[in-house]
Amino acid sequence: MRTERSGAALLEVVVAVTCALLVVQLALSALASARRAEADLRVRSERIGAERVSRMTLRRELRAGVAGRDWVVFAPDSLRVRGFRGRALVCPQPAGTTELIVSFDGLRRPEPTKDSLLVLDDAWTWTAVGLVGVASVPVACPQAPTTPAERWEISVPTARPIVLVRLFEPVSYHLSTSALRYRVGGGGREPLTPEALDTRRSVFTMDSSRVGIRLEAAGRRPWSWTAYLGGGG
Amino acid sequence: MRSGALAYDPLGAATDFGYGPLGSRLDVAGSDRRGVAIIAVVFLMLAVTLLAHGLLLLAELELETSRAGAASVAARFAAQVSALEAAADSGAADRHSTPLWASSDSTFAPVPDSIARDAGLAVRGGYRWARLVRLSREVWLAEGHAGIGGLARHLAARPYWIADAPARVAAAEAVLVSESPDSTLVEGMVDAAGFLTVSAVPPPITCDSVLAALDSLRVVPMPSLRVAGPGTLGRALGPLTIDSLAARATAGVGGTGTPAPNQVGAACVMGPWNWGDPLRPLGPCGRHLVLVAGADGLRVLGGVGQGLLVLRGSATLTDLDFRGMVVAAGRLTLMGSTRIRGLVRASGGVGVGPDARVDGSACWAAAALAHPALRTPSPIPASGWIDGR
Repeated sequence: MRTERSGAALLEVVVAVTCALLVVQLALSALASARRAEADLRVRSERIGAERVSRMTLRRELRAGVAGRDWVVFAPDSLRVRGFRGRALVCPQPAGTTELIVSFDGLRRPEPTKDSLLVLDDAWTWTAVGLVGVASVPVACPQAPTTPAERWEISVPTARPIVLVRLFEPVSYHLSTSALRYRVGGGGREPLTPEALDTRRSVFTMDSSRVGIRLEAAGRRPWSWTAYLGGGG
Repeated sequence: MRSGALAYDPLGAATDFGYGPLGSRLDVAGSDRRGVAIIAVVFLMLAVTLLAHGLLLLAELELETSRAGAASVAARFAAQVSALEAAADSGAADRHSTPLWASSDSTFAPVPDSIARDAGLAVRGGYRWARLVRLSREVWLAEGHAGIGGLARHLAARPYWIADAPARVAAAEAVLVSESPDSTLVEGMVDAAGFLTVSAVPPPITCDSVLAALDSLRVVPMPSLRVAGPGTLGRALGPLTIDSLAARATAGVGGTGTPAPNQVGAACVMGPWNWGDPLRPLGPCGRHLVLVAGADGLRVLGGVGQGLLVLRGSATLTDLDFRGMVVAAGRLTLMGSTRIRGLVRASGGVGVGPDARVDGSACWAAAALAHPALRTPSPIPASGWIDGR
């Protein structure tokens, strides 16, 4: 009788340990799957983020300018643009002056040390000039005395009266060191996207006057995305 | 007896598992394992739950970002649509009385359903407005602004050119401008003496306002003839090419013909060869000024007309009495007793016969350039969308 009882106990222990191991195994599998899914989702999220940032940022920059004049592609990995940051209406005044009374509206305040201007004259010609100074003291435009205005100084007088001004800063975008990066003036290259790209294969593409981008990423699941950015009329 | 207890009470043994007759040995062998398994499973399930929550959070953030992106795109489109609508609405007759730096009345409207639908948004509280600001006599800025349900807002602007008759007349470099020195032969008269005077038979507009505007634009005495070098004249009228100008014409003619007023009773009957009646300004066709496009090789034999004549190529005008402005992409030949009062511009050269003459007239040129078809705004070349806050 004692022998039968001992055998039953061993069997029960084996079954219990097996069940416990099975449960642990299942739980570990679930954990591993969840970690894989989380890692995959994070990678996908980073790639979608890179795609979104590249598309929205670069399209916005290119849409605001004209190919050749305001942006140039240095294939395969660089793009130089005039990053427009605001516009100003110019109080009517005669040609040949370097002082403008303007009503400015922009993403940030103008900074003469790094900003330049693209000015439109009354014969609808755009010209780039330097921004020398900004007097933040409010002044009045006789044609619109209630509109807030300020005085700007430009580097050279223009032959015709200026009617509209666009403020821009020189910006370049680069596909380098695993990310899309931007550089303002002579500053360093700051990443715009997560460092998840294979920048040896990612390129800016030129087709006639149309510019596009192809982003690639290596890894367990290789990924590629191609899109039109701007140009082509 | 112990075995007998198990044998006669199996249910009891099961329910008393671990505490029955075998309990002492089972307790020793299995107590640690049971606890570890439960704790391990609990911790593992907790970890899985945390990861699942992380995934949900990530997905939710992605959804919010995507929604904001879609709203941003929809706001941009709505702002651009508003600006385009403001520009398209600028054909109003009183537009030219708008002072500089002043704007048209702002127009408010909800965001179009189609834009919201295309962006996959259920927009509530979407709004947009637009206005047209006058920057100079001929340069305007169409501004559109849109907001999408507190998620995004956008300002889009675009500069436009709208013809202003006095400014166009002031921009003329001479009464007769030719671009081809080799093909320019003037045997007849080109006279600029009466350019700023009111002619004996004035056009159906107020000449005084034109002359006052020209005076404010400081127009120097207009030269009678200017022969420019090849390729130096630029576009036909403002930023308009000859083709885009011809596309605005209300009538087109080709071959050979004679323009003449066509009237039935007190009504002026429109037609491609009815170019108005400058000889009888109070007649039925006296106020009819044309914007007519002529095909290459057009030959006009006699007749009268008034308005803006756009020639897509070369043309020969014989014994025609025309008042207004003539713009030719090719060579223009004036033969016989042809007389033109106003302004002439020919990119392919010009020939003025011994009995033909061109008399400069600011009033007649301004009258031709005041045609309603020229009030349609034209986007200024090399100007993209100007985004703002």
